[in-house]
Amino acid sequence: MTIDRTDLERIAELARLQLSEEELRKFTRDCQAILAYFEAIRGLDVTDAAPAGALENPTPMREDSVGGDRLERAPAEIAPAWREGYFVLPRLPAMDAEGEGAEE
Amino acid sequence: METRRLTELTIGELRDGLRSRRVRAADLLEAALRAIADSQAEGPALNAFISLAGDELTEQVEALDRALDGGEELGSLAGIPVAIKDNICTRGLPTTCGSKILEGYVSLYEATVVRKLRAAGALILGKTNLDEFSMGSSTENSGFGPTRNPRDRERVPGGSSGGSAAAVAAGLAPIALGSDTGGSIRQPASFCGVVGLKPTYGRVSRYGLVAFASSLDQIGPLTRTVEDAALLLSVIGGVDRFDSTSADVPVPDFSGQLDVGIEGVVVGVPREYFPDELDHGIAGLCRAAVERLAGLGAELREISLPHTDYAIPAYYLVANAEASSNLARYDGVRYGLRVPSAASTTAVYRESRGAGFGAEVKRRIMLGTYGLSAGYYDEYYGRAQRVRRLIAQDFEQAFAQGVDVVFTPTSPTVAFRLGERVDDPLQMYLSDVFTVTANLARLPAISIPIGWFEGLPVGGQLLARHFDELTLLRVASALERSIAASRPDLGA
Repeated sequence: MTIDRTDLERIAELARLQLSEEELRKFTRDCQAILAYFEAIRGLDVTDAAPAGALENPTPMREDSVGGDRLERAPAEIAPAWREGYFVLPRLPAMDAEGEGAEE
Repeated sequence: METRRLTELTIGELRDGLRSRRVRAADLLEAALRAIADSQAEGPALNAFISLAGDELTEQVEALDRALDGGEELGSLAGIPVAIKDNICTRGLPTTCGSKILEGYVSLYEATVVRKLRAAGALILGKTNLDEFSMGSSTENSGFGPTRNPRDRERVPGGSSGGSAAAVAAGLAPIALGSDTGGSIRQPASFCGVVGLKPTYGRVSRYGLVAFASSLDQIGPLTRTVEDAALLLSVIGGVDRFDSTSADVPVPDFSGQLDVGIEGVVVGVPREYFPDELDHGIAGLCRAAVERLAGLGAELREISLPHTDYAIPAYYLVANAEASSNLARYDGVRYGLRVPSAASTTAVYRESRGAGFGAEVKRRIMLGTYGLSAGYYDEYYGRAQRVRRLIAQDFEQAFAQGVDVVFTPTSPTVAFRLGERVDDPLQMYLSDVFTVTANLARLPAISIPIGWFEGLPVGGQLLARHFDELTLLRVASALERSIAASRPDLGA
């Protein structure tokens, strides 16, 4: 299996990453070489191996209670903008216009 | 001892000096700050630190010296300066992760490990350089310039905790914290000639460690001696209600129990970690280290860890997948850099991330996104998780057959030259071939200096059962003392 520039463009879109023309060219070459090396694991028989992870390390539960936090600074101190107890964010174009991001 | 700088002494020596008042905390801090300034002024700058603490340290040491003058019993690290890798959140100091996307970011909270260090009386000296978001093996991928190896400034210090390793090796700080996702503490420890310990996954709280690959990341010490690493682990270890993956396992006084000998300890030597193409200088030093262990009473056993060849693909598929998910939070809205002129919502994300992340981070996000995408998930991420289980089972079988610790080289090479691998990501990934397995299997592992080859330090790696850091540290300490007894210059 290999990966081409069209795949890279699609992945960059999924990852919300803007890549320059030069980055696209270089990453296509790099990813082809890296994925070719990774092919080794596709030849290994893993049918009897359960995936590592959740089975032996289940997420522990705790009581759903309100406790103190460990904030060292008030959010207002670091917010780029803060008004009446709320973060002020830039108006995102999708909120008020049709177009590319409107469906999100 | 007289010829060494204060910052080159061990914690035990410094503690004795501070208690007896032969050393003042103010002088120790001044020695560290002077050493840091010198490391920037002489030759090409070392660039071990991204930021340094300011005037509050002066107030802290004055209070400490007053308390010590009054004969007060203080914490186990009272007055000891500690360097902190810049992906661990600290109050009052920026946490950049070596990334332009977080330049100037000061966290709202402090990591549990830093809180514990302060409670033990340590001075948080500053934040050390790293590969951006810990993605790299050379500290060349930092948005704030590369760190150089203090043993040879034309070479890399290893990575990603290269700033912490360089700081300890150059005597800028007696001890440091790093983080290890696939070798990021042990490989730079090997390249710089210091001790680096990756604890068992869950031994140390990750609360306040900026996430790279959450199932692999672990915080640990970089120090000049095994005893200091043991002491530091006792301070930072333990369960934490702010990290649900931290383990409720007792944390013993590791440093007080090292000196018991290793008679009868079974050391496994896996043949897969000594391939024919391994550099003869490194192989020879490893053989000598193993023979030393036998001379100290350990039983040597050749073992096989048959899935080792699959470790690099499995590691990079899992780590990149987790990274692509963890780094989704850097969207230009919630943190750091924002490109304000973007024309749409998605453009805000795309352009901020495109401008803020460096090349290696982008490459890994791309690979991780690909491995998780529809049609490829089972073939890449799903399969890598199954291979991860096979690798863990290799170790479980060895331990079940009586092996107590496994000995390997830490890295297949000594420190390489700056720029040598920066354009070849696959070659860079192969630097981690001996270290990623401990992370995949969640095992504790340590790198200690075992000698010099071509004028550069070489590290040997030991791995042990889950939460058996005590055996790991005992064997490492016995080996360290044996080497020091025959080559007193090794730790220079």
